[in-house]
Amino acid sequence: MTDHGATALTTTDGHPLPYADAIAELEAILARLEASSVDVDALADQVARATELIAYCRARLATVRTNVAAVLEAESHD
Amino acid sequence: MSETLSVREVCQTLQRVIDERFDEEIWVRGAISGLNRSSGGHVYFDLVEPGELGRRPEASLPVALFANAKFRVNAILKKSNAMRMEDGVEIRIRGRITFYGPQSRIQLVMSLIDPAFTVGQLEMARARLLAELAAEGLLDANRRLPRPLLPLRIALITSAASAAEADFVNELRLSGHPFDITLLDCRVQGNEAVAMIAAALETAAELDVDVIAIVRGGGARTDLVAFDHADVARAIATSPVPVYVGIGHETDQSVADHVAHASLKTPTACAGALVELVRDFRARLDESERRITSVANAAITIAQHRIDAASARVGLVAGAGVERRVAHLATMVDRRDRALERGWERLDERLARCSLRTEALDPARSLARGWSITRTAEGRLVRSSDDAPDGTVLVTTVAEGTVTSRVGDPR
Repeated sequence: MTDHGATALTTTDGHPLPYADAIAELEAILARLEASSVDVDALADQVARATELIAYCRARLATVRTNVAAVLEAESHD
Repeated sequence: MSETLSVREVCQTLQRVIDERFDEEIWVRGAISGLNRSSGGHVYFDLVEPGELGRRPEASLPVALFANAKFRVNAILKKSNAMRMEDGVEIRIRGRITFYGPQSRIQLVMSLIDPAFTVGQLEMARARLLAELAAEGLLDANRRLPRPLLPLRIALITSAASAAEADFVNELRLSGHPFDITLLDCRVQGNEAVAMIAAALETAAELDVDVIAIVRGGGARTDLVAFDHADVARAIATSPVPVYVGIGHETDQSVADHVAHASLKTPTACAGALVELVRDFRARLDESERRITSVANAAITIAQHRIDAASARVGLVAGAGVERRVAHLATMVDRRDRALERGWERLDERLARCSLRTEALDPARSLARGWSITRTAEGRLVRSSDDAPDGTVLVTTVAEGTVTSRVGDPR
């Protein structure tokens, strides 16, 4: 499985970061940024992380979409 | 002193008395005992009371049938074809009572015989015995036994090596059926015949046989007296095995014929009847086989039709079941596809929203709209005028680069 150029995010034990975890982290960052006045330096870092997570999630979605399309294609040939 | 007679005088007196009393031929009846045929062609026997046969007789009359009279007697017997002179046969004969001086022997010199008497005696005795057997319920006792279905095992009572045996066995052999014959050899004529036949019947009943056959060839009525005897008749009647008799006779039947399970006119006919039974059995067997085959085939056909019908129904039901499942599966696939589509949309929307929110929060966009970020030369953010007293060097970040300045009154 490839991530189409996005950074391959991993968990602390080295496994690929689950999509649900990535989305949850993204939502948490945004809620935090939107709820309070974050330090501008931290803001930049958080936005960078959020952007990274968005790219990761997009890549995961694209990969999953491709895999699902392949499964459905195989099914139509049975 | 009384008169003394010489032997000759006594014999002459006896001769005279007998001649006077029996001055002509007389008819005498009795049973033949101790019949003896001499080499000279003469026949001698004693005539006794019928009931005294086998015992020491109380009355006995010697009879002589000399060769010259024998010719006439034999012609009569041959013409009647009904009897033969043998021990035990009751006869009525004509002759002259004579006295033979040299042996002081009184005897009947036989000249004629009356076969009708003998036949009549036999008929009477036979009728008497039949009446007794009927009264005892024995007349049809053997006939009441079930007819042998497949009489292949036969106890044959006859005289071994006789024509009767040969005829009987030959008829069975010609049929080709696998008959199993046990021969019980016995006399079928004469003094010993009755006891031997009765004993053979008892022996046969103890064998593992389907039927007992008693056969003998034809003969004069007196030849067949054993088959009119009460002992033989009772042995046949009470036998637990069906008895078939084949006694050669041309006219009326013996008592054995009456009491037997079946009566045939000759040994060959007797064997033929048994062959016929076996043939009937095989025919019935063949017919049964045909019927069983027919019934079985019909049953198989019906069963086949049922199976075909059931198979067709199973096909229909299965087809309908498969169709339902195919339709159901198609529905599921459709639902899956729609769920997938909605899923993609939700995921895309969520990501898009996150992306927009992230962009809105990006400081670069504020800088691009003219906002700036001011830090001291040491890098501390300047949020208030108190953070930048006079003389403080400020580094201001704008959208395109930085501006360095110093706090102070420009005047």
